[in-house]
Amino acid sequence: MADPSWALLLLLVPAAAAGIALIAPSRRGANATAVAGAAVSLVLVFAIVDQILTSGALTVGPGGFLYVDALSGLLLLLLSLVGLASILYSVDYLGRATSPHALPLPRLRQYYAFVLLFLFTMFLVGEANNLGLLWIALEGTTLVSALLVGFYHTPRSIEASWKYLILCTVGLIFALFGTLLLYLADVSAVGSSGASLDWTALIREAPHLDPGIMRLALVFLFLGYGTKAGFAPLHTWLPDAHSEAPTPVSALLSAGLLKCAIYALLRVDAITLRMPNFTFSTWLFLSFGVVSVVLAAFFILIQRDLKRLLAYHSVEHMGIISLGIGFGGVLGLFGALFHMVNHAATKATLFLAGGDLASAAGTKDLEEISGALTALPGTGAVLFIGGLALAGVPPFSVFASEFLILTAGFAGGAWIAAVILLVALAIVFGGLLLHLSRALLGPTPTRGFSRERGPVIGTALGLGILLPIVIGLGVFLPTPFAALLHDAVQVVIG
Amino acid sequence: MTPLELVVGVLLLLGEFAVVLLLSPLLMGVIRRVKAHSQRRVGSPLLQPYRELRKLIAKDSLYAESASFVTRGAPWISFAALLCAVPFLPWFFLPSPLGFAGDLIVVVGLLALSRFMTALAALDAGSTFGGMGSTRDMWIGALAEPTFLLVIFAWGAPAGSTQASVIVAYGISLGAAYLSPALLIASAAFFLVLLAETGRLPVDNPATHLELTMVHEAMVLEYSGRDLALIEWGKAVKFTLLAGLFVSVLVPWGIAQSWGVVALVLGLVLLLVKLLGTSWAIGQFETRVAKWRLFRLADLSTLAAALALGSIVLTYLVGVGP
Amino acid sequence: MALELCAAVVLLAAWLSLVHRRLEAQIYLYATQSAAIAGIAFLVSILYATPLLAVTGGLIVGLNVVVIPWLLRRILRDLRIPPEINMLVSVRMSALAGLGCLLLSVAVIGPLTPLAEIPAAGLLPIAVTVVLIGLFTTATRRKAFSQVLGILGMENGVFLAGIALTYGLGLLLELGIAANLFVLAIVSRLFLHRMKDTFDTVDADVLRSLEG
Repeated sequence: MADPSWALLLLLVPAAAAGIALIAPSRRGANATAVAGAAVSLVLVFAIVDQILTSGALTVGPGGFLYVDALSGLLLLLLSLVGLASILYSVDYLGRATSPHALPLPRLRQYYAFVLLFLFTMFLVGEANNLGLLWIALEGTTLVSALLVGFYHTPRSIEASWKYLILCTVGLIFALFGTLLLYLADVSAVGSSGASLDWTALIREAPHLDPGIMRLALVFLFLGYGTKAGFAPLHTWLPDAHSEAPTPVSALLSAGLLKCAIYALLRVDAITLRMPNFTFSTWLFLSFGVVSVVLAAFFILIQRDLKRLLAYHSVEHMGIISLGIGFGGVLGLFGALFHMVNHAATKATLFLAGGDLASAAGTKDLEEISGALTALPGTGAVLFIGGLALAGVPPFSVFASEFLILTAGFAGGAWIAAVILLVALAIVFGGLLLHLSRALLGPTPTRGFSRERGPVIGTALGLGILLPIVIGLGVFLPTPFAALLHDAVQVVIG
Repeated sequence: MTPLELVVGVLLLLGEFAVVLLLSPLLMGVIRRVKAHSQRRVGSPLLQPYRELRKLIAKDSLYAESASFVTRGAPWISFAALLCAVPFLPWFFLPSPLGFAGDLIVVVGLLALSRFMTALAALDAGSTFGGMGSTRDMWIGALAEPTFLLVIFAWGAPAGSTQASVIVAYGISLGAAYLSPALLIASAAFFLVLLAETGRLPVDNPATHLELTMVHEAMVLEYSGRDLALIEWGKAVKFTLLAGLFVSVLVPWGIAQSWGVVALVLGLVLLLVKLLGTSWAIGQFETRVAKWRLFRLADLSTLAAALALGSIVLTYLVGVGP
Repeated sequence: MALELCAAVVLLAAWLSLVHRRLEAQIYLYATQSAAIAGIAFLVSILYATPLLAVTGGLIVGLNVVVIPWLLRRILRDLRIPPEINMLVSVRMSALAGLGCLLLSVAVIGPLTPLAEIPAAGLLPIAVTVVLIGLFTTATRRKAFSQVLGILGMENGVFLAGIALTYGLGLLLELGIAANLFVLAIVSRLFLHRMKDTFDTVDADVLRSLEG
């Protein structure tokens, strides 16, 4: 198994599947291609992770452009799980001719091609060693996902995708500038002949990097990747894009894309953590985290639109992850990385089940939905579980990681940030329960839910992938996964 | 200073006056010719401005009944003020003959005096056009002059002096490194000032007598004969002054630093080339822009001021300047 | 000297496009600016013996000077976009904003310790100014088309910084960045067309329904 070509294959498979999906002869063919592409990717990721756990990090491909270590493995794992779940859901939601939202075949081909390309670019983010390549991959995710957000051609989706494209591109240009400054910092350490943008080289030179240049680079990188990660106050594109995208794409954006941006910041953080007496990145993580958590808590309380509500939850949870990274130490980073996985699974679950609910109820307005638990027992139950998990109720996995992060905060002496986080969590808890209990438990609906439902096998399978993570990881951490998390923490801390 | 040097110096000073006075109508002719060519017209001959001046000088001046002594005196004072500025500027040799007595700020003052006299005379006869023209012209002056000063500071910042010949000598000594982004940006700002000060498009259309748009022409509508010749010539001299300053600072090389014959002749020839080139460029530029509304001129001057300030910032704070 | 000349052209083009009201002229200014950046790339490649940078210059000429302006003009024509831009901020304030961008960039770059190993690093403040001016354009223009122009301007600023700092990042990365830029132009064109079909205008003003 010790063969770095798995990592190359992981890039090839979704790209090739995207090409095949474009020329698929039938709906069935397109569906099968997409599912196969995502499933093979998942298997490949398992192989890669296994390899990392047994033999450590691998450098792949020509010129050392690709590099896969435990941190990459974690991101790839998360992406491929969410990717497969979303594509399985897409089959039910858009793919089958009988489903209420079915796309015509040419559009379906395009849809799958874009989703698979989106997966490809995100995998590339996870495997890039060269930070320039990382930037290229992230800008690639923006371009592809902008097309997906605007997939429905409705006025609102065009608005959302335009804002998304412009804001994230502007952000990413800043990030590119920050990346150039990283190069400059490397020049300051090793001279212009040996300088490079390879993460492995930068991490080696970290103790000698010029702190002034690094500080400036961090500002630009945080502005750039922070926009993409949905840190408040740079998050304005996020609720729009998440609410107007097709439901499986919303799940991918929230669960996958935001994590890619955080991952990029983690890579940079890993460099700065090795610089002596340099705490600027910690400070940035803490500030963005606090602002995100507080702003999101406020917006969650007043939000009525189901998907926008979930989007603001993403802002909040990105803030929590950021705080976890900022609190630092093994505990904080472990919590943050663990939370990345948990939030991805939980949020994807909620988007998929929520999309089901919204399409059955014919509206996304939470004030108009009630009594869903009796009308749609399956979807309702999943939403109920997901909602409780997202709010941070034990024994679900989100609780476990949030608890770790809070502990790290108090243990590390970051009292103010930890207390703010605690208060915000309480507010969000109340807000989420308020919204969901009305929608799920309230009186029997007067308008009623649509009974026209397509087959739900794909949805069931997709949720079957995600729910064990949501529920199970809270009480039991499988040894290989714990080892992967532990190794990933070591990658960052060193 | 030996008597011989004194004589040569006086001769050179007279030479400067002669160059400016004799050359300026030609530059006007060049601009007109270039504009005519790029508009696919034949255009008037290059020497037409000289013929116009000769025609006007041969004629008597007529004055309105309501005109006072101001109307009679103003063209002379205005013209004299412009001529006074000549020895403060570098033309084809260094140092400028009166450089020790004043810097570029004096030049700004002299130009302002000339503008003021013209505006005063326009008001004197009491015609509507004169009042209109002079308000417009003073407005343009109010916009252009502060920017002119800013440009002077921007130019002078690297050399540490606002004296034209010091800036030029500094430029010559630095060689190619002198052409920094800061200098080029300040020069771009000066180009806008030049357009405003000399009444070229898009600020004023020298070729129109349309009452709604004319500025300078409205002011001098009352004049005729010899006085008009003086005013027209003064306008050409003003253009020559500013264009000369522009090229001397932007491309200082070739200006003679000693009084050797070869260097002086070379400086003179290069000055001619530079001035003709500027006139050609202005002609080209004028065919490509339309006249702007009067109140949009504030946009133009804001841009020029911002550029000049930007140049100062670049020089002082970054050291991008030389 | 030629290097400084090109740098001044880059900065002036950015500043002028900030105050120019005609879209056609702004496209022209963008092409001019790109040409000057390509010129810088060629010059640096000669002066500091980095032949790969000439390839970068070639890429910029092909993409930023020829293809993208052509594409932009086509968009302008196909969508019949009115030639004058709408500004949220007056021309005067925009001109001063250019100065503000310069000051900000100097304030940001100034404290950096100068690196003797990178002689062209003096171009950095100008590059940052161009980036900031692009950001200002994107933020204050109502037409979606102008926002695209602003982003392209920002990219140009980053290219300049890249040339000045790194003398070329390597062919693969540069091709990747160029490809991204190209796809960005294509995707924006697609969205502008959709916007025109849906709203019958490309003023970003109509994009106001999603709030909160």
